[in-house]
Amino acid sequence: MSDENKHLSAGEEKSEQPRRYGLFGVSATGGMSENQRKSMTRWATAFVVVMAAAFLFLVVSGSTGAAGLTVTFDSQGGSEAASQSVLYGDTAEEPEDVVRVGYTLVGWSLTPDGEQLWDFSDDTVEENLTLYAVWETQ
Amino acid sequence: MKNPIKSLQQTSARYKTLDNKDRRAFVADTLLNNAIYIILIVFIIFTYTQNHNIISSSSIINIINLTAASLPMALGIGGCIVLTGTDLSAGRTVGLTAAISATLLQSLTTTNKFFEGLGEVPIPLVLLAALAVGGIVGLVNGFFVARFQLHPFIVTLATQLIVYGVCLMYYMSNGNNGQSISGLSDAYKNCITGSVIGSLTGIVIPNYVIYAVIVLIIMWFIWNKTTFGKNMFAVGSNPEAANVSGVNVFFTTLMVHTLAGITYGYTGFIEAARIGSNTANTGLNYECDAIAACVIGGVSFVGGTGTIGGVVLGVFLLRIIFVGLNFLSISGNMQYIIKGIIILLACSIDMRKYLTRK
Repeated sequence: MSDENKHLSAGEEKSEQPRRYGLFGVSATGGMSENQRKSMTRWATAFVVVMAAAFLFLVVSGSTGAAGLTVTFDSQGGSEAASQSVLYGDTAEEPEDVVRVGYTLVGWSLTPDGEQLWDFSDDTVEENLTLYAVWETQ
Repeated sequence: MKNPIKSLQQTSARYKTLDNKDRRAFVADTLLNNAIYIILIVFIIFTYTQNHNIISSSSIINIINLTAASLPMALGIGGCIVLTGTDLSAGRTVGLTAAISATLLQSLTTTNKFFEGLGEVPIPLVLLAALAVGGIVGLVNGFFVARFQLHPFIVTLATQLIVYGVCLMYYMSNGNNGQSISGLSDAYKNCITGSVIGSLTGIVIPNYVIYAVIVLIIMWFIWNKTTFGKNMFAVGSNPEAANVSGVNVFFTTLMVHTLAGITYGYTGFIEAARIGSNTANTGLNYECDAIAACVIGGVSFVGGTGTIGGVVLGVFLLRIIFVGLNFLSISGNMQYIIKGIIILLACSIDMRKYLTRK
């Protein structure tokens, strides 16, 4: 603190002062020589390029793309229904011809107990799902 | 306001005067400085080729909603970053103010009501309470930073822990035993997530988007049109010079942090209704997104630079990336890695800009 005041009284350039809060208490670039600055610029440039490449690589390689999300159907005693591959944000299609002797199909639900019915025309798929058939005795 | 067409003309005129070597350097610089925007465009095109749903109207409305929800907080933190500081207590403060808002505004018929026998509390009063609690946390942050010149990182790390402890105790109190708080009153939910625009035009944009626009206008006014805003940038770029020129550095630092605290209080008030079911983990890691958004939007950690428009752009871009990662069905674990890389990328660009400007 006393050093800084000495600078001021000597009438030196204010911008040469170390910053008060910069990285670790002083400016990251304060008191840096021209060569150090050039070297740091090269490092920063390299980092920008490497990070940009890494981002694009991870996005492209991590993307499951058209494979998307899987909606599995558990017919709970009825005839089998094939699972579907759905893109994030799309709706699933209601499986056809799922029957169970002595029962009628009420609908499909997110939970085995049939509490939350799935609306095939409105609900969009945002994660891997299992839908459970909800039956009613005839 | 800069005229974009005029500045483009100036740039092209300058470009014509350069020789070949300088031209190459100029192109390389422009590409590197705008790397994040270029990558984003490539990213959106790639996402679109994989999943057309990202350009659907529901997805765009979703992105706007999420942007509006996290914008006020980013504007608050932006002020702290302009002072070359940061604020880590933001997320937990949102959690605490969300808890306060939710408990005060539970519907009268809810079973397991937090404050049993509490009548209807006027919504503006609860908003004021949330703003006040957020403001107090900000004031404490600001006081320690300004008075003892401690680094904001360590001060807000401490207040983050304190606020989290208070928040956990709040959830444990009144026989609630840490359960989530839900069953909010309909008036409160309608006020935040209801849609006035939807009932008028049919486009269902929730009310909190309108409120976010109002907060945005207020913050723009504070940053650009008030002495306090100008002082904030002066202190951020050089506190000694600001002090010598008669700026009250103590008061400015204190107020920037208090203002930030108030935006967390506001965010907590909105989040409580937006989420619907609040736990002590509400608001966890919100500050990370907000800080990342500010850095992407050009609010530099070097201090003294940043615009409101930049913060808005940063929040918006970060949201597009987060939503896009879902549309690509990238696994949740991988998403964290990609977010980290985006932040490192933004910081590298920021540092490079600062170094070459000197």
